[in-house]
Amino acid sequence: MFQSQHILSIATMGMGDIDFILREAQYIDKQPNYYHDAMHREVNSGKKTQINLFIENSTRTARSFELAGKKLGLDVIDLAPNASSFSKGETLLDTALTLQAMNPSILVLRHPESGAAHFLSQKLHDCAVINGGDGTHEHPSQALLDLATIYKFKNPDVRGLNIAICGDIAHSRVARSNIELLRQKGANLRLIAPKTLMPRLPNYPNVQIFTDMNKGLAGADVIMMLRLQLERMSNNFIPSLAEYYQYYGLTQQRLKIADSEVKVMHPGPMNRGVEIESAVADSLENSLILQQVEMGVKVRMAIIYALLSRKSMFEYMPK
Amino acid sequence: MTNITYTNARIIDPQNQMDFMGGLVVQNGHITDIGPEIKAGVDGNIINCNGDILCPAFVDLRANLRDPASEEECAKLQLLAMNQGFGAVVLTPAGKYILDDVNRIRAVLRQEFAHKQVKIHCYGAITKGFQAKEMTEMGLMMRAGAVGFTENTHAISDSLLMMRIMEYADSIGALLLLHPLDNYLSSGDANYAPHTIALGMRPSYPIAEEIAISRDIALLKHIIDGGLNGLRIHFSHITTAGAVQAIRLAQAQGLPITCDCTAWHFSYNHEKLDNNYNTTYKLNPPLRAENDRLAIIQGLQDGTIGAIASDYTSLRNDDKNTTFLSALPGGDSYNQFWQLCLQNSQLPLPKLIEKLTINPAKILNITDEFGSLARNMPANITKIDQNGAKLLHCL
Repeated sequence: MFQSQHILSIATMGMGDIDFILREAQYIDKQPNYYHDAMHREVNSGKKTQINLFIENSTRTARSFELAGKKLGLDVIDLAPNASSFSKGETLLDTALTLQAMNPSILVLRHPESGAAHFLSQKLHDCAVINGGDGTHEHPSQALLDLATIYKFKNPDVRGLNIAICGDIAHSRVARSNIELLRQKGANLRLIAPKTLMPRLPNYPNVQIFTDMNKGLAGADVIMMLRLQLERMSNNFIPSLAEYYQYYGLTQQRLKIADSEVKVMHPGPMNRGVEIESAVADSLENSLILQQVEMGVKVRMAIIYALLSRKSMFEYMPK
Repeated sequence: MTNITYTNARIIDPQNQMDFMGGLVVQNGHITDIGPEIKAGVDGNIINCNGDILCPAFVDLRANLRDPASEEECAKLQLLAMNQGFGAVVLTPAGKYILDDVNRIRAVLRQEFAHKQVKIHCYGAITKGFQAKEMTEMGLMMRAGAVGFTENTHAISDSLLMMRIMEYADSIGALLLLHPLDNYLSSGDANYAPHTIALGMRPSYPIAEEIAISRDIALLKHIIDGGLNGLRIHFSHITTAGAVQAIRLAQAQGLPITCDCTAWHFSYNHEKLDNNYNTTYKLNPPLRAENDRLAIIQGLQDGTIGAIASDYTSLRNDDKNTTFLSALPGGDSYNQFWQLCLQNSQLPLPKLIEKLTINPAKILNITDEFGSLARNMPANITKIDQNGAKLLHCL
């Protein structure tokens, strides 16, 4: 039985629910069409509405959630920030009340302020809120799809796996969610960044901090690169993009320090030549970047399905 | 005017070391007699206090209104303050208009105040428009009634300007109320800690306070080298262990420095911030770590921190009913003020009353009106029920 009313952060989700979503995502991966029919039968998904409210620009997360909702047969409405009143000074409380009147079953919110999804979840009734990224807080569906990708393409268990997360960890909600999830799952985490881009973390036993990328990458099984927001330079977090690339860019040469079968991931969109060399990003052998996008739709289907049906489909599935 | 005799009360007046059962006589708005022997007056009304406490009316060093020149807002503030035992409240110069010239000070102080029991004072701004560029006419504002000067929640980063301000304030004998936070290190909304970072809150570094205080102490020492005239430096709402220690050392060297804290900062720590993103606990300065909270209590007990201020902020509901980042800091701190002081300050009652009465009155230099129950003082009195648990009102 799935417990969560909303998907707001990895930190507030129970491990049971996390495993539930990952397991259903695996079944969806095998039997995508079955879920569409089952959703109709179980929760009458044709009469349910999913609203995507993206107050911040997003292409892949917004489209991924849209596709996931449509594949499950929901009515999906996109409220683009530019075309709506949400950018015209309306408060988030008014937004919540307006949305409530539309009576959605699922609301996917991306917002520049940390805690915005929590705020909406407290104001909306009979609607599951999915945090599609809030400020510098969390991006739980990204962490879940990253783990599902590792499960499928690298190893079905991450215990003892050396996973390096590299880049602007201080401002990255993807990193927050991934650190929390992978730490709980027992991976050996190596966080690599200059101190200006590294937040202070609690002392976790299986998390190591590195400022030297060459040391942090040694023997890594998976490397998760983070996007460097280009405005970080003007705020004196780093002196220049060129210098950043020299010290923290993932090049083919650096990749050799890691394990010979290392996999490279990136949540996108990438800055080629800033945090990652094109040859690494496009490597058929090492890169899982497009596989992440593919798993993204399936994990998001699993999230929406879990929130609406609350029970596993596995036992009903045709074997 | 009527005469009133209060009998059968516990009189607590820390300034005059009074703590006894007795009574006092008020004639024409002044205290004419006080002592254990007073039982019934010759004429006028007699009020039997049945063992309740009478002490000097509280003095609030800082309250923030959206518009200090609004009679409606002042009336609301007076009512709230009165119910928490305050007889005098000083308004900060922020809000709709920054109180940075004489006319604006006059506009505030010349209002028809609704409740005579609570006296309204105000501070002037230190620099024009809080821009930290040009000094205001502090002397003229002082003559118009400003009791001191503050940049409210802004700090003056320019050390040369700050030195000039201190030198000038020393020359005219002004009180400077400083918000001791380095601007750059304190731009976030929550104390810098692993769990607030995990919540995605923007960090406000606790060292910001110690750095600002250390600089101002260094400037003050520099000025004192040339002889001290009448400068008084007061650090508002200090919150960190490092700040308490820096002020403690400076006071031990005899520097004219005082400071206050709010009831929030010795009652709660930053663990109050969690996945609920409760905007009630968004404050400026933010709630700090537990060792900071304990250091504030220690500072109150050893006298480093002389006063407790409400830091009341009048906000609209919308200002708090939003995300943590968008919410405005502060709030209606009068609501629970006395309860928090009583439960969490760990001060014996007379000591607590001292930090709410004579100490802030001395800081503001208004001891001829507030802070004690001596004969011939104006009758600014607060009544507390005998267990101390319930604050009855300001008489």
